[in-house]
Amino acid sequence: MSRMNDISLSVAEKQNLGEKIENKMKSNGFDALLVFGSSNITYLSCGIVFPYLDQKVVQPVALYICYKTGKRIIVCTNDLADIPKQLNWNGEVVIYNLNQQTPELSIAEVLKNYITGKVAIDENYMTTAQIKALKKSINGLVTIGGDQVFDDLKLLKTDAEIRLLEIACRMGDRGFVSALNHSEGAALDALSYPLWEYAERFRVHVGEYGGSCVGNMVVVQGEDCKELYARCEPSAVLNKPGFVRLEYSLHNSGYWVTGSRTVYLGQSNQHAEKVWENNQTLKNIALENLRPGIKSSEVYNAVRQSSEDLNIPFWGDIDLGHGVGTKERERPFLAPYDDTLIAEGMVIVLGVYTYGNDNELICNKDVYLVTNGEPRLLNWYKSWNDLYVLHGTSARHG
Amino acid sequence: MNNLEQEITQKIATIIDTKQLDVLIISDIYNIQYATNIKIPCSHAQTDLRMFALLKKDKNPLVVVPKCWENIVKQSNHNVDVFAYSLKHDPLESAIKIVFEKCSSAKRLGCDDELIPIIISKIIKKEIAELGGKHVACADDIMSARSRKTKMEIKHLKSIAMKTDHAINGFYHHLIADRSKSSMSISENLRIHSLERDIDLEGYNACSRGVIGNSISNIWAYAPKFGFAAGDFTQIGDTIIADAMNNENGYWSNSTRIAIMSEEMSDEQEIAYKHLVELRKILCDVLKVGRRCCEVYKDAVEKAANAGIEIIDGHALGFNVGVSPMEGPFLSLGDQTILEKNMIFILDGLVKYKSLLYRSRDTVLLEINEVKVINDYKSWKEPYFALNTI
Repeated sequence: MSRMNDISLSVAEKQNLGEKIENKMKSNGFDALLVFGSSNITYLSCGIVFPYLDQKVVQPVALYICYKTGKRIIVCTNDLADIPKQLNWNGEVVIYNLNQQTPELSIAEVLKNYITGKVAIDENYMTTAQIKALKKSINGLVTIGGDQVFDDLKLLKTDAEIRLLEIACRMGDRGFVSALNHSEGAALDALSYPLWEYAERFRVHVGEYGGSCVGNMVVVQGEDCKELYARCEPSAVLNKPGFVRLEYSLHNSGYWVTGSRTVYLGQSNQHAEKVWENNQTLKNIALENLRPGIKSSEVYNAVRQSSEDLNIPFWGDIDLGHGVGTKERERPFLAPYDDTLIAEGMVIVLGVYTYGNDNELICNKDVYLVTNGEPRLLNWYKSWNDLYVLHGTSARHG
Repeated sequence: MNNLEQEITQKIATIIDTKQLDVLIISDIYNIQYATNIKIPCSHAQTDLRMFALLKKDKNPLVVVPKCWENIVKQSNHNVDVFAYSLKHDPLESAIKIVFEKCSSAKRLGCDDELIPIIISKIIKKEIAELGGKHVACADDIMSARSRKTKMEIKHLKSIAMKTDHAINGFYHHLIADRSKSSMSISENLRIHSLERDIDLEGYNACSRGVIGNSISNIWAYAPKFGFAAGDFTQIGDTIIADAMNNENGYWSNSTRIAIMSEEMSDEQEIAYKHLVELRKILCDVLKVGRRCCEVYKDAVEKAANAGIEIIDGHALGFNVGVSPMEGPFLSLGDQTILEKNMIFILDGLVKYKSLLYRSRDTVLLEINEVKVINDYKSWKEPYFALNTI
């Protein structure tokens, strides 16, 4: 099988990641963990993905692992119970029924049969209602915050995780190219092309190319392009010559990447080309600073300094990038507040929002693996370094 | 302020009065949307960026967000005061600092922190203690308010429920039994047909998926590509189960409907679908204002058993829908909530027949003496039948 079609973790890769996690947990004195956050469940279970957990479309799921006893349990409602099996989970699955007043109390009533003593929990996800329910049900439960350890673990990716992220990048780029291919046959002609369809074509093609899910999906043109996000009016069509930007996130088998791609609708001009070039200039400065041993905040500061020196203003209300993994935004954040040291093995999304001809926000995000030398581009499928012009007046080809 | 905002503002004011609050601090994103009409589509996934809403009686809501979301908040609701924090410092610390600057004189501070991560709840409680204020738990009050829909909420929920049913039918209309379709194509087309009916563009939880053939033995088939499905193709006579969740005006639909890739059902399908129809009838009969959810559940389970319908042990038979696609109360064994007028339930019909799981979700409005199905673009006494050929 082609390396790029091998879209999930192999047994050996899961084992490797599992050992890394276990060693870290043990070295921090954690004998057991109990997590409810979707990204923690996927990461700590080494690849089990549940649908729409963050959005609460399904009832809560818990992952409990005890390194002393070797017990590994996923606790979920009946409707979700076959998912771990579909994904080759080698631990137990325990079903809970909603037989208590709340789902939190119901899941706690089942967990009490398995949990004893001290357990590391994800306080960044677990709700107050949930911890209260657990403490009510489990005598002598002692919890310790495990978030720092979980986050530290996620900072540096294994080779297999990098592979899944690289595949996610390719899925995203192929999805975006497909959206362009569909729309450029009709953009600006009398038939017009709905703005929502531009975004939807991206989503659909990510799925067709093997992606697991598309998350964020925002498309902006004209005045709206001056904002990071704006509502996409159902009747809006691609009809405003100028910059059009798509913000997106997607995952491949639980491994998320985010993206922002800007194109120019209609015939571009020298000014548009120039502002795009400026955007690339600042992005490349960020990239040059993305080196092991540099603080994340210093990457941001280097861009800020260059922005002043070169008189290329950038939008400073958002970070210049962030880590990706089993969550679409992870540490480190390329922002003034984050002093995390950049290290080999981090996978970071990088993009600078600069201003277009009419103050539109333009951005081109790519994903990089930090190495001891130059960062390795994981979004290699197509270069976006030159401004992409979206133009078409032919009959719609579908 | 539009009618919906007026209605919700009144509900929030009632909570503030009842609990004698100086300020209500809301942290859960669905509660924020409910109280302020502000929805950031990625906020549940980008949790390093936190937002809060502060509500005081007879004052505009005050919303605290990162600067990168400031403008969309202002566009979403002109009647809120927005305070945005920069990313110069830790986002959570910055947000909390603004929140407590804005309620420094408050003595009774209501919170929905039962619904939010422990770490944020701890910070809020610590800040309240440092203010010398009293922490008042309000999560249950807000959830209770959310469960009883206002006139405008009912209007929005009816509209999106019917649109979604229409969208499912709109796609089913393309089915021809002798022209095989992949589950992936079905999933895509469900979403397209929803978008064509002017629903909001949504990523994340805008779930639309088709499950076909023997894959219906799993409720969440095709893991982890739940919403994209796979490359399996329909055979003549197959069952198709379509799920669609759509959003419009901030309110969700959550629907499931069955099509048959034939002009008639097999004997097995006939029995299974009859069970689904009977289960719907049982649920509509037992769902009555004034009863407890758990009583309804027990009653329905007993009646289903008497009718020879195999339902899944412990599976909740319904839940509410509103600003989120699934919320309490639940028609389950443990939920003691008393049913009230103007609750909108998703009846989660799920029956097992010969190892396959047949599903259908109806959206119903509870009225004093009536349960009204509000997502019946067509009658679902029978499934959708594809033409055999054209």
